[in-house]
Amino acid sequence: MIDIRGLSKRFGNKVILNDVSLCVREGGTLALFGPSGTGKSVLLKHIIGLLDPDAGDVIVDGVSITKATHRQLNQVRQRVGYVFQGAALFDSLTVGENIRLGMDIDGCRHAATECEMRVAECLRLVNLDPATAWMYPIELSGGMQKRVAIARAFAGHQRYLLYDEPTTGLDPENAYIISKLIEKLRREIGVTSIIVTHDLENAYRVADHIALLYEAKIRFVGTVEEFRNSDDAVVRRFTSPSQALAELVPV
Amino acid sequence: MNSSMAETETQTQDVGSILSRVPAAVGQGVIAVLEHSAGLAMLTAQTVVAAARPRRYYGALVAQAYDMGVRSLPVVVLVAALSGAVTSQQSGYQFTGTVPIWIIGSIVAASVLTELGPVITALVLVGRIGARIGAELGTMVVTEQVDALRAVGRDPIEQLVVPRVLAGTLVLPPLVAIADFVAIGAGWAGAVITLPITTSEFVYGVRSYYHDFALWFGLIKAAVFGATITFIGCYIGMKARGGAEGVGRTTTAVVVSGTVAIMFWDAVLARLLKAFG
Repeated sequence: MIDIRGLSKRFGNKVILNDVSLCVREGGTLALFGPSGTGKSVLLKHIIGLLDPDAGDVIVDGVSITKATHRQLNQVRQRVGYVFQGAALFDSLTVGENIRLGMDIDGCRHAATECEMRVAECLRLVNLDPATAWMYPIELSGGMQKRVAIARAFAGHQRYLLYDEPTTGLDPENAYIISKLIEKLRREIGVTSIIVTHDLENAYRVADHIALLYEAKIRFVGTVEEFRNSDDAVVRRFTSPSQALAELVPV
Repeated sequence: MNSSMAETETQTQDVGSILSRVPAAVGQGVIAVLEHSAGLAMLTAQTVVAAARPRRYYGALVAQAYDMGVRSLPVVVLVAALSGAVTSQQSGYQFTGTVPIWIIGSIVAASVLTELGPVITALVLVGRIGARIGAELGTMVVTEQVDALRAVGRDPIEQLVVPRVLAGTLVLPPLVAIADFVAIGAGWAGAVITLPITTSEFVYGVRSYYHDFALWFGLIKAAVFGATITFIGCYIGMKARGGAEGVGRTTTAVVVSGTVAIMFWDAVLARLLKAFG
């Protein structure tokens, strides 16, 4: 379980997160919404200790991220896969080598053949040809790079997956493929996921709960149905943007 | 008259305004120096600790050493040859007729072994290696590749910084040894072609100057320069912010800081040479 407790973070004078609390249940998929620049990615990075909070804590499987030793933090990171917004694949490594990075901390505990088989299996799960393993990220399209990033994130049998805008910048077809992939991973591998997204269709398709981060605080948390039917004016800006914004900004 | 007085008053106000900002600027400068000192000390400590696990970075170390050593060789040889030839000719024009001609050999050997070999090679490699490391790591930072490394439980210091710093430290001495050899050879060729000096006179001059300590000291300097160039490249690269423009600023900062650091170390190590040599 991922339990975010009273998290606060500021950069300079700008408050990014203010006493944010959120809990993601085992096996669930939470979509995190919010306007651009409200700190959704910042919140995600706190979960695996890529950023240190000014106050509050994140507990992953009973381990406090702020109090964890270096070894404990690495153990948590091996259980949590992170899909970066821009894929963040290593240009100098092949696709296969990128995926192997996500497999274990030493990268050499597995036998070579076992590693290759796992790489091929991961590539098949994200609907890519296993031969892609020998290619470099620069040779792939944006959608394929995102899928390789997802493969790297779950290659080590991670129990949690954090997606930072997985469909942003993709055409509808590739966005749909990624959404189906996230759904498939939850169904077949049973991972717990948090998805930072602006893509409402994607969120409705893959999430069971939705949270809205607004003005540095969690404005709404609930099921997809509750989110759809919410009367909150801010929530309605996301569920029915044209109607809500027309009322807000009369032309 | 009135307008002249108003202008003088405005200028006085401007000077006052500028002076009032001086303490704040000095304070910010002091804070920046302290921050960088702390950052460098922290990175040094992290690098030393991470270097204790060679199994994890051995492959990257070999790749970096190959890139820094073998691929830098053509430019190092070219610059060394030119600097050796120029030194012999310049000293020839200065000293022909005033001192025994074999002195040219001594001047070339002394200049190359203690200064030109290590310093010119290091300055070339600030651009060739330091700028590359800064741009490479800077790009990795701004495209979240460094975060991705940490996210999969890898230590970026161990994977990125240690192999580069160790490779630079190990590769510079042999590169400088080659540069020394080429520069003295080019100095000899330049001298016998353009000056009234024979090969035996030039060799006599080189041998009359040569002592092992000069050669070793040049190689120790090379190792210090190698560590400095790569460490600065890594430190500044890992602090890159803000997309392509940020990476551009990083590269410039690495070249400027690396050049200044090489000259600083050269001055410090010259004192040591005098003390021990």
